[in-house]
Amino acid sequence: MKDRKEEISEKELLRNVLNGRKEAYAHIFRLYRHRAYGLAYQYTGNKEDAMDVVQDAFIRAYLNLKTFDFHKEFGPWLLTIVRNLSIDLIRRKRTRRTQDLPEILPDAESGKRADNELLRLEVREALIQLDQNDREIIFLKDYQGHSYAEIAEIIQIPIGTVMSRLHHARKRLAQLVREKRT
Amino acid sequence: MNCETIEPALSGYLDRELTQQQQQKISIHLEECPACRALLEELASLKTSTRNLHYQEPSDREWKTMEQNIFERISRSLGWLIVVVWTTVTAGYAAFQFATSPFETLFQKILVFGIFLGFALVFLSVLSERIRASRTDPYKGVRR
Repeated sequence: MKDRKEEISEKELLRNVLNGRKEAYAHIFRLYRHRAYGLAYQYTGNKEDAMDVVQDAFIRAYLNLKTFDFHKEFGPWLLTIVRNLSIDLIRRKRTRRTQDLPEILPDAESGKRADNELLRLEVREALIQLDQNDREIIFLKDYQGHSYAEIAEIIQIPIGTVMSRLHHARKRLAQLVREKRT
Repeated sequence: MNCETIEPALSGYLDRELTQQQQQKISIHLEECPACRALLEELASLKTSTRNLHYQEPSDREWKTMEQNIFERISRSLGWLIVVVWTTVTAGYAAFQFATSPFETLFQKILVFGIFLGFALVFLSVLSERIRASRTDPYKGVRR
């Protein structure tokens, strides 16, 4: 997801944070806040809870930065914290508001506009019906664009399991979309 | 290779996560198998649709507030950590000095330690109750 130059500057920022430069952490926050929020939203299903999770995750990451392995990427490590906090939150609340799930973006290709928007509406509704594990893996791959190795690290499963679980989830999503059309 | 062995790898093919050799094998199979081709097209179309979904994002002002809150809470956490460590070290040192002091009798030492032990137990019970409550408090997220 990142080129080598970006990775090096990110590691430099993190080392600066460890050396007590808080403004470096503000850069890290701005780099990762959207990805962290998207993942939290995917679990909590509403803006307020997702924002609380993101805030707690960045605080926890800062306070535990000494335990971060600098040979690895920061993103998956942070997103693992976001995932764990999100799961804790929904376990505590035991409910999930589904009315706030993804919205539909206007399509730039006007020729296929109507068809594409209809498909996205169907996909959005089908995603709501998917179980949490299926929705999570589709979100990490298809919405956030992580590699299989990164997904394996974030959700802590063997890399070989990522492809089979993702394929199963996509087929389930396809089936739900087909059911909506009939 | 038949459809049963190809189909589970179609997602890996779509995401370009297979080896070059595996990609080639699947490409050859896809040329002659309309069923697998149709499934691949369906998965690709769903992937595009998912990528274009949009989540309700916080406003710039909300991001700014969150950033400020993060730094305030980090400072507070570090402040508490220093207070706890310093208090523990100071109290430990004072207790050691008092226990080894030749100027007080054993009875006086027991009296003083009894008071401190009582306070320590009260403090620990309140602390554990607060931690337990904060984990289950349904109003924790309510902003004041």
